[in-house]
Amino acid sequence: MIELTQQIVNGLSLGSIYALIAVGLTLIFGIARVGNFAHGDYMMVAAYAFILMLADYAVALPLAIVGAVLIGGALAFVSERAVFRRLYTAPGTTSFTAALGLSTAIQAAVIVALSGSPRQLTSEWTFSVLEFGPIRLSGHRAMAIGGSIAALAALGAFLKAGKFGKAIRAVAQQVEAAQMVGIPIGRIRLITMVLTGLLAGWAAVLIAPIFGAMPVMGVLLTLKGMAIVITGGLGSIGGALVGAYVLGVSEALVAGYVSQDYQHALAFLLLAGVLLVRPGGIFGEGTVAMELRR
Amino acid sequence: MTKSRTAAILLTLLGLAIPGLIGTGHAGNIGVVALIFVMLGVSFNLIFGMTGYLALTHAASFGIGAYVAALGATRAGWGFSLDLVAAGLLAGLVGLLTGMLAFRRVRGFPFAIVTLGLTITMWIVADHWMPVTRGPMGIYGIERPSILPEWFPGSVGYFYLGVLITGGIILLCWFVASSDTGRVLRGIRENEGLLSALGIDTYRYKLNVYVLASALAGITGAYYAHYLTVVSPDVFWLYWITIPLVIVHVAGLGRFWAVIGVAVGLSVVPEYLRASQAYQQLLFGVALVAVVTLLPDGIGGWWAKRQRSLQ
Repeated sequence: MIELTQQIVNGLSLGSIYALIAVGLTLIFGIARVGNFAHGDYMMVAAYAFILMLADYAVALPLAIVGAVLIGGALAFVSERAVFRRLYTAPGTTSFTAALGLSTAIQAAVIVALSGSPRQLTSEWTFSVLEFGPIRLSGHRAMAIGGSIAALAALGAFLKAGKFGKAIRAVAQQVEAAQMVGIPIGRIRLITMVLTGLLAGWAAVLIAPIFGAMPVMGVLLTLKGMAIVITGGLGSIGGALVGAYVLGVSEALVAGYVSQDYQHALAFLLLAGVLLVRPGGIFGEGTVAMELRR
Repeated sequence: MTKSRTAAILLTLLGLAIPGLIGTGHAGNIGVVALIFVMLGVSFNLIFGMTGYLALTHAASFGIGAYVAALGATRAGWGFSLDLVAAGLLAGLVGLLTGMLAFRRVRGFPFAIVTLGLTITMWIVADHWMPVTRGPMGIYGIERPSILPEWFPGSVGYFYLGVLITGGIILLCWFVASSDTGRVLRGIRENEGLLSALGIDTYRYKLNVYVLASALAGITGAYYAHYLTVVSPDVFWLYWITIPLVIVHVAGLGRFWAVIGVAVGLSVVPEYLRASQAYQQLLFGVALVAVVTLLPDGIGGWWAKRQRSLQ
């Protein structure tokens, strides 16, 4: 029982990270019909930057956090301006292919620049372990849960209340109508992408103390994130949240009770399973064709 | 025959003769890599270039073929030919199962993710299934086929063996692409809904070409395994996932001969950037982004437009 609770608690911290990634991905998809495969790589670069700033350049912690978050946003900004902006009207999976190329290039650039070595934060940055009775929760994992919930809550408030938030939701629901009432969709798309980039940078700050940084971490996270997003229904934030935590806890349970090696494949097995039953995702439409608009 | 077609044929014959003329194992190596790129490009073009379905399991089929050949050669004592056949069969079978799930349920972006997910799952399995795949250490000791004549040194003989295999694959794909089936496949990319409404069972066409492409990629993987004599989980990773994509996009989706030309052209990259696979990956990644944003019809499409406008 204790073991089970421990695994679930671990899974919650994992799910919190997944949630940040998945919500970002589903937001971009809702706004621009772009499956941004490079999203996890923004996080990867930000994680490396965060660790390098703290470990190699003795940057103060608050500054390093802000730096990492901004780097995530900057990468998203450049991607949108240079690449995705030209591909909004391109057919089908073109933007996804471009994102795939972008992801490959970013990973390779990091490997070339840093000789590909993974980095970990040294123990001086490790927080104490919290203990709730027999359940142990490392400070970093607790922060991951708390930090993620805080960021997502802020995002939710922004989307519900502000002018930009309303505009974003409008563009996600009906692009033509949003255009007709004068919402500048180009700018909204850029802002949304930068927002998700900032979110990715924040995820990097939360994840770096737990897992460190390595060049391939982005790919696995993005792919799982996309599996979550499709399972939960493309464009559905609620679906992304639920899917993220379900996957996080499931992975922790599989790692604990079945096999630590194959836990990463779980996301894709779940995806295949869900698609067999509900092709549109759990919270999406139940129909077959998920046609991308031209 | 037109002048340009004669020139193309002469160039091809010359290109095929060069490794034999130079006679070094090095020349043979370059040739072998070029053949592998051609085989991957042509088979990927069959599914992605023609139907437009981003079936990212091509690397999975390639890797399955490589591992089947590796295991067959080192554990079961199979010969080269049996390896190739078994690789093709198993890759095709996996393709059949995947296709039956994927084509019935999703298309577009979710389809790409499902197929990509499968490929990465293969990578995870290959990386951890120690008793069979030996994990990251990989399988080594896969020998070159003994049927090679002794005339050519090193890889050159293997190159000419590969020419036969590649020739067969090109012929097969050309036959499919130029047949009525090919027209249906192209139609699927243009407007699948319309074809469905006309009563054509697009699911069957998609599945068939996908199984064929997967089988061919599997055979390519077996050829690769016997060339490298080592197989590791890397066959399932981004490098081999991106290469067919880059080839087909740079050539232009569906442009049959351009794909062959571009594949040969791009195969010099692994040779010149042999020092670092990271540099290769960087180049291919940037090339993919550049081609998709700036030259979406590829070189083949650009050439065709130019021909038309000159008339």
